[in-house]
Amino acid sequence: MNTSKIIPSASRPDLLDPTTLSQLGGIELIARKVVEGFLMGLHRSPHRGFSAEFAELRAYQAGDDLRYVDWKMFGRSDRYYVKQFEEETNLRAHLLLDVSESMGWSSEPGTLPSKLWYAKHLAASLALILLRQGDSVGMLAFHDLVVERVKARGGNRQWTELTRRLAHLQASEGTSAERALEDLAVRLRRRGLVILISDLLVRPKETLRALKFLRHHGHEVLVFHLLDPGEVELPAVSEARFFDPETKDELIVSIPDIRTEYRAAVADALEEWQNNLRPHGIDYQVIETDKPLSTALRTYLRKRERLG
Amino acid sequence: MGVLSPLFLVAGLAIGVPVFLHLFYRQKTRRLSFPALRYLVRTEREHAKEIRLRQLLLLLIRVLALLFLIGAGARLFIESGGSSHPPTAVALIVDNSMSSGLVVGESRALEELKEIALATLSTSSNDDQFWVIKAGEPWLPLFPVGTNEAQRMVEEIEISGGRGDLAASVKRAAGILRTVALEHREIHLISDLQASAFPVRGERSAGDIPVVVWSPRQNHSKNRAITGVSVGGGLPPLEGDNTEVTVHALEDPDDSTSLSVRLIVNEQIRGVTQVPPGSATSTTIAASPRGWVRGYADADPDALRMDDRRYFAFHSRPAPRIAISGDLGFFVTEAISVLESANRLRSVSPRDAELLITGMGADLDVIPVSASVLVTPPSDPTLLPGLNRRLAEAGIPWRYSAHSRAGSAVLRGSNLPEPLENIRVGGWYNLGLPDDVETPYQVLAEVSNNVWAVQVMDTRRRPYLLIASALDVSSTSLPVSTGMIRFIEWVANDWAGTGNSKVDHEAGEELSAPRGATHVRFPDGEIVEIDGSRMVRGTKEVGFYDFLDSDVILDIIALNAPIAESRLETLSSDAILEQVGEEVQLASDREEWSQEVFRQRQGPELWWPLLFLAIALLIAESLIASAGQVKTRTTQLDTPPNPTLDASI
Repeated sequence: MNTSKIIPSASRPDLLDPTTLSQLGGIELIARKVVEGFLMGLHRSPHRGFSAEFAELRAYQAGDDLRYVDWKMFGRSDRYYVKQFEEETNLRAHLLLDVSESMGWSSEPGTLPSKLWYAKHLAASLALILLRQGDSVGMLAFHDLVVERVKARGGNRQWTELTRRLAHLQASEGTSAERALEDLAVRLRRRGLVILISDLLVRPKETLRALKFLRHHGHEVLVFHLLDPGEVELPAVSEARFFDPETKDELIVSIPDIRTEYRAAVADALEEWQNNLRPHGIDYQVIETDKPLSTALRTYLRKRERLG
Repeated sequence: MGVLSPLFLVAGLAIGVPVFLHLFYRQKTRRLSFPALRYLVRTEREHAKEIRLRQLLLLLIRVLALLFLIGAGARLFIESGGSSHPPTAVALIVDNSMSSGLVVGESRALEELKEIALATLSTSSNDDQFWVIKAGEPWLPLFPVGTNEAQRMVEEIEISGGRGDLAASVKRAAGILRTVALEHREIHLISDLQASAFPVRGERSAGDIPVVVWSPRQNHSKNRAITGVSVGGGLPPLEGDNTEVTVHALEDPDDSTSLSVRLIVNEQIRGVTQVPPGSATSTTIAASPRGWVRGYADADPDALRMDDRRYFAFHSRPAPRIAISGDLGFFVTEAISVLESANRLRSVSPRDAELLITGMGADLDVIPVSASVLVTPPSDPTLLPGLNRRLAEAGIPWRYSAHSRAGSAVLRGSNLPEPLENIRVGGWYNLGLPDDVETPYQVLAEVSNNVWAVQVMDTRRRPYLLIASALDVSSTSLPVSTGMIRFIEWVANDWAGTGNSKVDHEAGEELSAPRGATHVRFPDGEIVEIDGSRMVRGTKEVGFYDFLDSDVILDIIALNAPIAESRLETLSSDAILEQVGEEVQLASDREEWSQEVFRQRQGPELWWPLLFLAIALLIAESLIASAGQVKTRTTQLDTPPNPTLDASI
């Protein structure tokens, strides 16, 4: 296995850090670039193993999988051509996006995009990949209530609709993930893929119950736990009065005195989520919002691969 | 535990800073939006004990580190035996009196004393202050010096021919040390501890200042010495007269062997004589021509060389010319007659006199300018106004006045001439100066705290000797005593003339310059101008001191070694403790000495272990505190690479 370092470049926006990526443009443009870059990085169609029909030929490029070389054409033309397939799928994916007040937070305002920015662009990128694969994608945005709902459909128009809806989302209010999950669970008639993108600053028991409910009803569930780096590592100040923008609770803390213990507490919390989700077949991935979007996209593909 | 830099302890106030910050500073905080507050709450809830413990530990470490730094800066030390000491003011008394020239073994006693002093200085520090006092040269000024300068001064100490007055030296040292700012003070007394060095018993000169005394066990040394030379039997030799020179030898109860003494006069041996210990032998030397005669009696040198030679000088001159004026009474005229018949003086007219003895102040206007005057008051007090008038005309401000007094008393005075010793006075006049007059004078004798004999000068600088009693039997016992003739002789020669038969001046004495002298020549040949005080100090050498008026010798004074130093009588330990002060330590050998000096001995300073501990604590503090530092974030991928999905370049 070649383990040489992956170097982000203009041709691989999926590898760019969000701060740089946010300079490239709007959500639609960024999502396209991220997806294209991500797919370009793959040496074979991500659709290996999927059922697909041969659609057309294209010229062989170095690195293409030799299994898809059209040998008949070679015999006829002495040139190498690769078969391209049309995907067909019947997967319905639902993107659940947390737009509560806490998602609008950034530890470095003006420098590092907020968790909501990251979530929206991740959702847009995932939606594009899904739609290109022939899947249908829907979206549900929530805080205390469900604020946005897009029915799952396929096709290019769906992509435009999703990005338009995503662009207008703003962070506000508290968080009630379980309500959104229950709402979705009620509406889903077919099994599908549910991707929750949230900072999980929720009511844990209720949210877990709702996720398990979905899972037990045959849905595949993937949870992206977004964390701002400032939530993993406390800021470099000596003492501060912290307040929660959602609950308005306050706490005075001497940061140097608790920094080590705070790291442990965060790690414990993440481990709790993992220990509560994975045994139920729910994929759980912690994503820090200063990491390239490719990290989350790879996680999705692994999940997608298992789905067949 | 002691402190060398106590002011640094003020920095201890800084201890309050971390405590204050720890307790109160947390009130001033920034307000930060933090959605993940639940994680902080969880942290506080689950790790409250660890957090509190670390806070207290950091506070303790910081306070301790600060305390140790302050302790190091304040230079704490353990108060116990050690090699260093706090800054100390030391009066170093080195006895370089005549007896320190005693040869012991192969070196002089002074060399050992200097070694002791230098050994002390070698253990001193740059923070110490020293005053080097030479006991044999008490007239030298004192000033504080550092170790190096003190060492140089000690190395340059030489033997003084004078007597060592240790009591005065110790008292002077204590007086200086009481004015010093340094807290720790000591007197180091390095001497051969002659008994003669403490003239007054029981004085405790040092008071409460600690004194360390060098007091080695000494073997009694035998010493033979010439203790005195007198010329002319106490009378100044006259031109043309044979002169008797009497030599006295130091007593020695253990040895009756006579001292062989050579008599050298004007560089010629005039005789050899044998002087038994404790006795005197006289030798007659031939008449000397008019002029100054120098000589010395010289014995075989022994361990203490300086007292084996004794100097003398006299002025061989014609018999002084005496004139008397007024009614002086039978006894004066009779004494003069006796002396004249013995060719000790010549009676002349006042115009030719060297000395005028006047009863009423008569003939003061006819005597030569160079003459001297002895004024005796009349027996009849009604005649005093006349005498006073004549004194006034001569420019003498002193006045006689009558008073009624009962009883008699013996004459006293620090400058009392020998002929007036034990003379009783029953009647005397008041002899005094008006309050508003200031004029130089010297009181030679007192009776019942009243002036009896005073030496003054008139406007022409002629010396006058005024006495307060008429020389009659009703007023004083002098006329009928054997002292009368000696008194007249003394006035005529020693006081009025320049005969100076007194040959028992001791080295170290202050010498009064005679009238007219402008310079003094020391025994080593150095010529020093006489200052306005008319006193010559620094006479540490034995030998001849010539008083000069330009090139003319006006007087020669022979200074000799003090007799008391020749006896080599050392003080006992008890006597030392009694004499020196209230807090005295004796050291009988060098080891004991090195332990006794700088007695405010401090043990090892603690600055380095305290500094080491402070640094260790600060390192520990930074390690503990760094656990709360922001971690450097890495750019590792969160998920392992998948060969089927990941691209590589």
